[in-house]
Amino acid sequence: MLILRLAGRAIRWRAAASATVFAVAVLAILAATVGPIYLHAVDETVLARHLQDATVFQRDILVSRDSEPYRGGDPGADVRAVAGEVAQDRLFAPPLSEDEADVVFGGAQRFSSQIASIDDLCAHLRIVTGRCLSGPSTDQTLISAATAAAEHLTVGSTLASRTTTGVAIRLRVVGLYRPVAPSGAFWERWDLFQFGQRGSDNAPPPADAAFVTPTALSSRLQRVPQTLSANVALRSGAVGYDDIGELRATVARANAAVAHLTYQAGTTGASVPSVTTSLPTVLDQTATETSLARTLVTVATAQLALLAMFVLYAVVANTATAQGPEVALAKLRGRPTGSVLVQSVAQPVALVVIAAPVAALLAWIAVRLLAPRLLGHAVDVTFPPAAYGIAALAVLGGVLAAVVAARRIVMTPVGALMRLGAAPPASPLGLLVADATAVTLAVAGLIELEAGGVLDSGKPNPLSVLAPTLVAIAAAVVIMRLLPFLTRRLVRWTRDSPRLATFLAVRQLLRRPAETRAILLVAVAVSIAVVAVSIWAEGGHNRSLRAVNMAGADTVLIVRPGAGVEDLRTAVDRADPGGHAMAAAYTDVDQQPPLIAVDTARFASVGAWVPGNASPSLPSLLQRLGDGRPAPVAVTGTELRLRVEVIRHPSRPVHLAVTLAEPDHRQAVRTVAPVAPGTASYDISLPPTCVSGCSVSALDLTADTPLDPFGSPRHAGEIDAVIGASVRSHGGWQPLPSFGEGSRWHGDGKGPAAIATASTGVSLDVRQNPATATWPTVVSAAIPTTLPAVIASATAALYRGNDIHSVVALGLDGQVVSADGVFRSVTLPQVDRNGIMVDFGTALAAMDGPAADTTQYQVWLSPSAPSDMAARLARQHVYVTRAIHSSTYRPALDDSGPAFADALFLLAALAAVVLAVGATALGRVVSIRRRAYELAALEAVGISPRTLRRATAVEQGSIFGIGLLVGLAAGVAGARLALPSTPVFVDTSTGPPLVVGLPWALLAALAIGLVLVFAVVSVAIARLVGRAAAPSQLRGAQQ
Amino acid sequence: MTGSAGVGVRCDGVVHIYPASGEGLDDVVALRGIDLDIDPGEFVALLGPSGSGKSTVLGLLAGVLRPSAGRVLIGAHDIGRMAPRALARLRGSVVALVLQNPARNLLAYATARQNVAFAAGPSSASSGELLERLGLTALADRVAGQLSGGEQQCVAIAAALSSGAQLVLADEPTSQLDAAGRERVMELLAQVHADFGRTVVLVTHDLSVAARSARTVTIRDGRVGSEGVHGRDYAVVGRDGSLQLPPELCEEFPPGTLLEVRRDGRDVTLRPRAEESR
Repeated sequence: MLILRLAGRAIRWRAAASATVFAVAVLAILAATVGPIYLHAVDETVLARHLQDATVFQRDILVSRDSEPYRGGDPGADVRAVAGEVAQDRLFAPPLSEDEADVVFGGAQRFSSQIASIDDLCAHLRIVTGRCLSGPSTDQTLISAATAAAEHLTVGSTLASRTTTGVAIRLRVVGLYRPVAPSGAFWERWDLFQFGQRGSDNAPPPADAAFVTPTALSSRLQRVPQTLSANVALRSGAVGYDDIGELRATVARANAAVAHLTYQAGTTGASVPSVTTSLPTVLDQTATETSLARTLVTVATAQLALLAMFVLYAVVANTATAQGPEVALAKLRGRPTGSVLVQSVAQPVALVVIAAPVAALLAWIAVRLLAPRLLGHAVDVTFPPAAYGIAALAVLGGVLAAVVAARRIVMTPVGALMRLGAAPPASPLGLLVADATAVTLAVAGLIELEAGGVLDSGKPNPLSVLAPTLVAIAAAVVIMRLLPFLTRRLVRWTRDSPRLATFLAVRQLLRRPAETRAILLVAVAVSIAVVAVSIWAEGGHNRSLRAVNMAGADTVLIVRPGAGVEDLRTAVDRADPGGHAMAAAYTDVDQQPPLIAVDTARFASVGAWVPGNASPSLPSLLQRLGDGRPAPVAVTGTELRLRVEVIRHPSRPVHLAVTLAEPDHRQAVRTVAPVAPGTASYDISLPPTCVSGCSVSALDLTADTPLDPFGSPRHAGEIDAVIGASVRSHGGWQPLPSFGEGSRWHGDGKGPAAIATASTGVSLDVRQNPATATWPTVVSAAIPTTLPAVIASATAALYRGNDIHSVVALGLDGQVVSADGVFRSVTLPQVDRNGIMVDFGTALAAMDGPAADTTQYQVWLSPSAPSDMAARLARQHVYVTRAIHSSTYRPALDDSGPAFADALFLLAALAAVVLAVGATALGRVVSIRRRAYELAALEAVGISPRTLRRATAVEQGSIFGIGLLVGLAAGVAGARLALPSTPVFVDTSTGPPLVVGLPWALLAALAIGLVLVFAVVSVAIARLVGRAAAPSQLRGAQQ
Repeated sequence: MTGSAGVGVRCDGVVHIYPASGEGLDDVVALRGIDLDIDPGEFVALLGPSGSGKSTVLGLLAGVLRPSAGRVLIGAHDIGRMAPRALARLRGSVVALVLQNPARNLLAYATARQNVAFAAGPSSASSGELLERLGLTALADRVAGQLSGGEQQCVAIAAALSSGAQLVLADEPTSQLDAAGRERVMELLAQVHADFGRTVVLVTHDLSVAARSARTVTIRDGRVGSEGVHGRDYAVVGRDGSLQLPPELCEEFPPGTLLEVRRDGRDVTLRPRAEESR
């Protein structure tokens, strides 16, 4: 007891030192316990989100059974028994029983529906007319107001229905209802309100269920096949992460009960209940996500905790060492070794033990304050059992540190202790062995991480964040060991230089190599900070990229082109003449595979694209999608005049048909028949829409030829003609030179066709296919035969051998087109990994008709787009109906385990830096106090206080500087190793490939910030020298 | 405990060598063969210049150091042959050492009473009673770190007594004290010797302090140079017959001088060789 009382007095006597030990102990234990507390909060958050996102079908447990074949007895008893088994779990609500029988209402109109009974029915229906069901009636029913109207029924009417087995059921309507919250939790489980929905082709349209009492159905069990169910709803709000095991056990119990019933039923043919739930899957998904966060949080906090324990060890060791004279006195007094040991450790251990609850409380408060920010919403922060364990371990670590530190002083012979006043310094050989061990373990750890596939394997593994710390430890220890060689040289160089402060600083570094061990602390903390910042930035960047990819662009405007806007690109070009702020796009995501058409000229500035998406560069990819086709032969006017010179032709009449594509892509065919031999002109009236611009799609030059009995021509025909064109516009005829260019046309391959440019028009030499008697069509070269496309990975995987050169898709007009997959990409904007991307113009040119109903017009905006884009589009008669911002997808991505872990890692790194700076500064302050006599003596011999301050600042700055450089280098090297394996997303099967890169600007800012902090601390420490070097210290030291 | 009698001390040809403390340094021979007998209950002052080895003698008697050669006996305890644990027990029960620096004798944060109790160990009697006997009651509840140097040494002597030590060793206990403090400490040591019957061995280089003891032993160059009894100094014949000249004669007869030893009745005369005297 005396020892404890004395320890208490000693703690008060050395208030400053005690406060330091206490503060470091609090920080160390806080660092250790904040991880489990935060992790528990993450677990709870992730579980709550998964349960919230799950439908009732996934999270509730449904026990159901068909009544057929009827074997007598109560078929619902087994259902209730199994459901009751589940409901014993406090996490589930009491079972809700529902019986239903499929029927067809046979009134004025036939409807497919159900007759159903359900517990607590009247509380969830609003009775519009009449009353709710009451008593054990067997012939009363409630029908929906909608069904009543359709069947012309009212209260008092009879609802006639017939079961699927042909049993007629007549029920008296006692009330008409409307469901209360039909998509709410009560009704969601049962699909009973289907009126107005689309039914199957061979059945009458569906209607809302008619409700009866349970007696009404149970009394008909023998004749009416029924499904008897009991839903046991999960009380999501009451479920905590620690309940997961209990939930799994409950599901397993229900399945076991069903298995038992199945066994009992044996071969009797009786039906048995089944259990339907996806709860285990939901829990599995939760576990997968939390396990990613768990490892990362554990590694992050473990590193911080180890760093804190390292500092705690140093501080506790200092405290124990400072008790050297007292220990010497105790040994001189002949106190037993155990008593001396207790005396030595009593003070630090008492402080650590007192610090534990304080630290735990602070950790809880910290998580409680930070959780809403880090996790995005409020969460009930508890103190999990793991946190108690970790806190206890941390205390044990502190006690162990005290014992280890005290051991040396206790074991020192009393004579040596009295002479030195403290334990002799640690053996240099021992330190060398410790350092060599640290480097060996660090290197071995790195090799193990690499060999074990943790690093750079492309697979997420949170353990990868250990790499930078290991690199920092190895590098810092090596640098520390090399430092004396450097300082020895520097001492020689600076000895005769006028820079006395530098000499004093370097000499001190050489004299006290133990003090340079702070380099290790600073280096490790800085490396952790570098990695944490890199991971945080990488995670945020990739989540942004995924969000933009989900949207398609930074902002996507869903637009409605006004009258007269036939090509959205034209409107966009006018609204954004610069070409960098917006781009037109058409999508049809309802078809399979989903198709997206982008304006390849503007996509690079606006669209979502990640460099790793495809092997070629984006510009070359876009060029392949958009190039290679001539412009269409545009015809704008009211009439088309064709000058046809028929040079060679069969004996039968020659026909000429011109196919025109109207502005909305409808095809209009104009026929000139017959075409007279020689040269003649023919006027064709154009569709009215051609006033605003049509194009010539095809020319058909044909002739009737006699066929043999097998359908082949007796003599294959040939037509050789030159056709020129002019168009009537604004009252006059304008020549159409593009029509005569041979390069604007090509044959469709149904027969031989030679096309060339002639002086008066296009020269066509077409021949009939001798086998099929078909004539080739001369098609506009502007119309693609296939759509060059980029095929997303999941779509490409559907094709054998990834042969994506003939992908069948639906064009924007809803017609089948063939897409030539010129590139394969991991993901595509908006359609992710399932879809194809084509050039907007090419897709338009391939249209044979107006856009399909499912095609959506979009305008994509770049992040730098001006805010008045909607107004600019409106001026071009393009109206925005809805805007989708990529930022709307971001919260859901941020609400994930890895993101939560990143945030904590960043905070842990910040704490590590604070800890390292604080501990190093503290060590320096202690050192300066110990050197008070020396500093006073130096001042007494004429060295100015300013020089002493500068020397201290240089000395401190050197430690910080070296630590900073080593930490930055190790952090960068380690981050390069770790980033490819750092988990960013839980679901890695979607989204663009990860962009892995160091955030250099952010790291530069971090380095500058650290330099400033270190400079301020160094200067502050140097100011202490002024007081330490006071001449009064000489007298004090002598005493 | 406090009523135990003093214990006798015997040193036979004690040699002590401090091993070299650094690279390139030589071992230091502190004692070169000390022979010393102290009877139980004696009050002896060890005198000598700095570095003569008197503090080493005290360290050996306290069981803090072990002799490199020779024997150190505290009562029946042979210091050189005792196990560390037995030595610790010896320090806790038979021997007590008061150090030169008052602050290092006490726990600075504890009261005088607690310091005495800490030194006494679990089986000790009331520390208050001891302080009262020594007239230190006024200091009992004051924190040691806040006492003056003299007061601290007084409490340190009380602490030394509290364990029942039969041999009280004091290493220059007054060297850092003012005159009043010095007087108070010496009175207390005299009381320890007279009232408690303890053997007291005091190291000092202050002749006025040494004069308070009944016997003085002067250590020179690691050997017993002379002894003073009741104010008169005597050379001491060593076990090997060696004899140290007083310092003033050493100047007259430098090392290597040949002296003729003659016995004349009860007197012994040392006479330099005739050639050399001329």
